[in-house]
Amino acid sequence: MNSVSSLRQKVRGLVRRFVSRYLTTFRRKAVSVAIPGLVLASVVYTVDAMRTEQAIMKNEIIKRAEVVAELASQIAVLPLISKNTALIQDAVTWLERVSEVSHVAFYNTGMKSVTALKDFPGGLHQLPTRPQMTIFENDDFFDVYAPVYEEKTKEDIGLFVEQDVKDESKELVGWVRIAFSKSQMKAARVKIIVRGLIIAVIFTLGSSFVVYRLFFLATRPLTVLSVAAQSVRNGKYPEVSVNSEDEIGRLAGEFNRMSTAINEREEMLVRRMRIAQLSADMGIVFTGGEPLPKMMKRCAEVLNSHAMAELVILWLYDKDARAISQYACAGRLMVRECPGMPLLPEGTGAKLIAREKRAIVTTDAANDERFLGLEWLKENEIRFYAGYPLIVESQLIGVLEIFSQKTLDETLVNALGPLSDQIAVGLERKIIEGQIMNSLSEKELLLREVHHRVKNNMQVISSLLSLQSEKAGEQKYIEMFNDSKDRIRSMSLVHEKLYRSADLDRIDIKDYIGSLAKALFDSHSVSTGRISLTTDIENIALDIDTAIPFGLILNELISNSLKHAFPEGREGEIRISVRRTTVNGAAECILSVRDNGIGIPADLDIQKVRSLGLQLVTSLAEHQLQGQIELDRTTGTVFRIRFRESVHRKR
Amino acid sequence: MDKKRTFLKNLNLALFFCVILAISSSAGAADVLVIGDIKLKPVAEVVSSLKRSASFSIIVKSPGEVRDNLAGVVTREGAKAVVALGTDAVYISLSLPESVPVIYGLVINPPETKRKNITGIYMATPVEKYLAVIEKYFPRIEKVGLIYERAGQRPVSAAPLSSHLEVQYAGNPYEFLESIKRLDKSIDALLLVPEKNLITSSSLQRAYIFSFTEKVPLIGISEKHVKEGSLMSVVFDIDDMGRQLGDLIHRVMMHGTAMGSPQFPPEKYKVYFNKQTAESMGIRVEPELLKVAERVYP
Repeated sequence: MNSVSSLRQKVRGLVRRFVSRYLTTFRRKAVSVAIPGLVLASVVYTVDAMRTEQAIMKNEIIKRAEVVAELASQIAVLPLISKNTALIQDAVTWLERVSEVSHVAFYNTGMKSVTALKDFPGGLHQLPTRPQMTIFENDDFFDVYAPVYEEKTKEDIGLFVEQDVKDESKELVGWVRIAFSKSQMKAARVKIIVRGLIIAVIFTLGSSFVVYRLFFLATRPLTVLSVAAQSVRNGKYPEVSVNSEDEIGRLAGEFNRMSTAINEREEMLVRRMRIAQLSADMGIVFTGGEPLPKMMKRCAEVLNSHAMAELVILWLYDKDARAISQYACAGRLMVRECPGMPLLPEGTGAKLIAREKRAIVTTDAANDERFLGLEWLKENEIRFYAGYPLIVESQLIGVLEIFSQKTLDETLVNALGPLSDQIAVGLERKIIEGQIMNSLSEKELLLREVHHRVKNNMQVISSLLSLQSEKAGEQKYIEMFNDSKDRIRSMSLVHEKLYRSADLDRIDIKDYIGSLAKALFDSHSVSTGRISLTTDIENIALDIDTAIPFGLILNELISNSLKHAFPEGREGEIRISVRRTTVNGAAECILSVRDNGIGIPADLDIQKVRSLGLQLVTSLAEHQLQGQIELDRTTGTVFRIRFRESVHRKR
Repeated sequence: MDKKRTFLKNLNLALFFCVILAISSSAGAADVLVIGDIKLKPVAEVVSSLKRSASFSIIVKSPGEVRDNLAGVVTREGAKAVVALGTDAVYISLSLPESVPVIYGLVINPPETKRKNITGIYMATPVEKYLAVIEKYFPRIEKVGLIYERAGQRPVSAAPLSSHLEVQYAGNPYEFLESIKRLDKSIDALLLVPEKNLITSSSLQRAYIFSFTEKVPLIGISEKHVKEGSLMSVVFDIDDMGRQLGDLIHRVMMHGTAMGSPQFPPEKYKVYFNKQTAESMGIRVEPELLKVAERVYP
């Protein structure tokens, strides 16, 4: 069973592979079904016809055998009655002249042979009780037994008048037996088989050819349609030629209409895509950030690349739309390549459009009366002209002109109107943007100047305090002046860093801390050889509102360390670090100023200290920076201030 | 009225029964019992002729009806004579007591019997009749062949030995044909004698072949033979035979016995002639023959 099922699966696999590989078209499938059907029908019909013909042939031969046997039974009467050997021999010879008769035998009523001639093939058969003609079929012949009767008249009157048969008396006088050869039947059978096979082959070949041609004729339009459909898939739109009025003809007609419609829609899509591409390219031009002249030039080039025109000019008017401020062109007849072009700087068409604020499109520009006098149009075979006003909020800002030898595509022409609006908006935006940038530059310059003047003023104040300190006399007043001077410098340094910065908004604290520390070391006449400064500062930028209190705090803490942590020429280190951290999702900065000096008294409470410097530190840290201050005495003296980086921006 | 009606009704019934009785009594008493198969056309014609000409009552029975009890039937019917028509009927009637006269008919030759009280008319045309016709209408036929069935037992119709006749004997159809071959060169015509055992369909067919091959005309027995190819035939008139039988029965009835009565040949004959056979064999035809012939074939 397993071998049978595996064989079955193999056969199925072979059939599937054959079908998938070779029966790939309807025609092949139909022919593969129809032709075996025809062959089968032909074989069945031929076999049936041969059988019928053989049966008919057999019946005819049997009938002929019966006729011969009937004749033999008549001929045999006298020989059997007479029992005369010569007469019997004559009868046998006469019967054997019949070509199909191979043997003849006469028997008496007791079925004893009265012919002492050659042996009859085969023994005697059992005959029916009632004498009648009986036929037995052997391989080579029909064995026919026919009773032989002698007819006698029963009544004397029968000799004188014609009577009914029943008045005749039939007396059985013996039997005649003939072997009727089947050779003719066999020969006929061979002929029938050969003829049947020939007819079957001719019929099969002929009908197969006819079927193939019919399928070919029936499927050819479908093949043509299939090829055409493939062409459509590849972007070609052939016209199918099927000259018939039937379903396939109608299908071909519909296919042609569909192909044409797809072609038209595709062309429309292509045109729209080109328009969209043009619009997108134009958008790229306007968002490119290039200066206005270059932008106008690019705009003209983009337009020309899509329009394939001879010349594209983009005029830009001044604010009052009275005079040309600038222009850009592109195309084969670029103005720079045509220096003698008389219409420049402003063409007749552009003037008309600027005056009437209305588009002009003509396909016969050379003969248009509006362009009379422009001989270069004829010289360059310019026939198509399209001019559009560039208007923003009812204000003319420029004119777009396109000159072409060929009429532009209708879709492009239709799109030029909205496109001119897009160009107008883009140009207007660029102009405004330029104006804004100019304004910003002016303000930035002004702000730097302000910061610069603030810094200068603070330096003047610092200089004044320095001069005043020289008159103070007592050291404590001198220190007070110096402290104030340092505090002013810390603030002026912020303004200096601000006007030197790129964006005037923030200062880099790393740079600021370095400058401030250096100034404080100088101010307190401390060499970096005795007290070293170590910084660990992240790249953090602070705005001015944070930087001022930050600078003041840092000024106080560094000054405090320089003044009190290292008395009597002690050496040490001041370490400053600023790090950024995140607490509850908010960015915070941690300013840490540490010295390894003598340390501050253990009972010092920074919240209650009377020193102005530390009061400033506490006050600025808690109120200005809204931070927390912490004093750590474990390893030297560490002031740690935690504050939010952008706390003042929100104010 | 009711009594009158009842009386008339009874009278009618009585008359009806009387008629029925009369009819039945007459049917049971017949002068002559005829045995014959009236399904055979010649028998029916003879019976019909008998009935037309006879002055006595006749009852007809088929051979099958009387085969086993003919005497009883004769007694029951009260028949004074029995007429046997046909071979089978004659042989049945031979079993009757000697007292019952038997008159036969429609047999070729008189039956061979020792019975005395028997008479009748046989059908075979006497050879002299033939010879007379041949002599009259076919003078060139000088020698006529004859083949009888059994040697020495010539029938009543046989002709006396004559120089015009060449006689042969045969035991079966084959010998009949052999005899024909032997007669071939010595005869001008072959007269078929009504011998049932010799004249079979196959022998007659061979005889025809011999006749047309050797140009020896056959003189047939019946009209059928002439139609088939025999030159001529002389056949008894069956209608006249009925009349002839009627006369003979009447005489027997008159005498009450048939003893001493001779055997009779037919009294009237018909001549049939085949003109085509005569022409094919080069036999001259006498115009008179065409006039006297009952029918000329074809």
